[in-house]
Amino acid sequence: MTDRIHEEIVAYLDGEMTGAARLAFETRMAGDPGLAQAADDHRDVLTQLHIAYPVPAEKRFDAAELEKLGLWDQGVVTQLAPKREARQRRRISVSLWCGAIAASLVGGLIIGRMDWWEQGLVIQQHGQLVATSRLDKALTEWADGVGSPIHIGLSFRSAKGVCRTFRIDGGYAGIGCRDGNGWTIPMLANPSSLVPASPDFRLAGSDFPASVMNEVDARIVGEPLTQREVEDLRRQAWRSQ
Amino acid sequence: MSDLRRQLIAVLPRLHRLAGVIVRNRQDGDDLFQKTIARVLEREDGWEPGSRLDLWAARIMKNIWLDEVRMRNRWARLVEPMPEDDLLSDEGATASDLERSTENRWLREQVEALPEEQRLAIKLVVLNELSYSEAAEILEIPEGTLTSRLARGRAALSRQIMEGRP
Repeated sequence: MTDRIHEEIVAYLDGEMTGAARLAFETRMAGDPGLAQAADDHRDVLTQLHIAYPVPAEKRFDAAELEKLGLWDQGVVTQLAPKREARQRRRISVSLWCGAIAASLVGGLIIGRMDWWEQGLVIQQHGQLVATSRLDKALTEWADGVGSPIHIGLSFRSAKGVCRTFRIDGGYAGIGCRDGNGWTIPMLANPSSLVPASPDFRLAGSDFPASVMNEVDARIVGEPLTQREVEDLRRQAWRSQ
Repeated sequence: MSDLRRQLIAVLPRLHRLAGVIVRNRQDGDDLFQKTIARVLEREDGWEPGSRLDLWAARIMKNIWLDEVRMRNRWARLVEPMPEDDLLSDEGATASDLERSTENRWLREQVEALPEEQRLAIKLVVLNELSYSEAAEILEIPEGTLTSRLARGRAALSRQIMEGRP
């Protein structure tokens, strides 16, 4: 058996021989038992190799591993397609790779892989996500623990002002923080990462993912606001300081 | 974050798998993977935007590994080879498991004993399921040369399987 024949056999078995060449080779094998046997032997090698070298499971990389590799930083790990103002009300496509990744978005966080369109609930404005329409209304007007399909969770003070958690039925959860006359969204978590926080860690209006609650924990100054405090702030148009 | 870094994050699982295919020992595979990512980031300016980052990074990985092989060959008499991961544990193994494991280990030894050029060609194409053009690009050789290395390596394994399986 010549080297050339072995080359033809491996190319045939690897799917690198196509069209007329493939048909011609199969015709040759049909009329040449020696060639057919050699092809069978090579096929057996492939089978044995695949058994001896099981394919390892695909590794997923979380934020800590990305950081270790020097691939996590304060930059944007997102693909925010529509950058121009005129396109900002269209689909915002955010892609984060490798499963649950925590990545900063201009000082904020997006957790998980996202290809989403939240029906105009948020827009990108000056490099940050801002609540619009229904989400803005919910954050501005609703009390803690109420709402549908947007649920308001708890309200709290952070170093930069008042923030509120929110969750959308079947959609995203996150944090909105008062900024001037609107709400910026420094953190969003996508549905795949919406594993509810542990029962021991439930706060008012819970069923929020652990990632959101952890972020609250990192930002909160003091205790969550009471319903009375929330109502007072709402009356003052959220001018808290 | 640069375009390269964004794209690199997307291909990390593929590169990690490739490192695990090239190197049998898990620790060595992880080391190869991490060295590759560090080298890619060092040489960020060398990547041509629009070209396939995974193949470029895989070429870097291949070169790191070949340097490692040369270094190990130089020191081979002085160092013990790292055991394979499946030698480190036989928990719950039955007789047939052990027999199968012995056969698999024997075949892997035959593969690892092939000339490095044949071994890498087989690992990229057969075990990592790359096309000939992709593998040739990583190895920086013509496709005809790749085919030749694949054929010679696999023909040798076929002979060894027929003659020497334990």
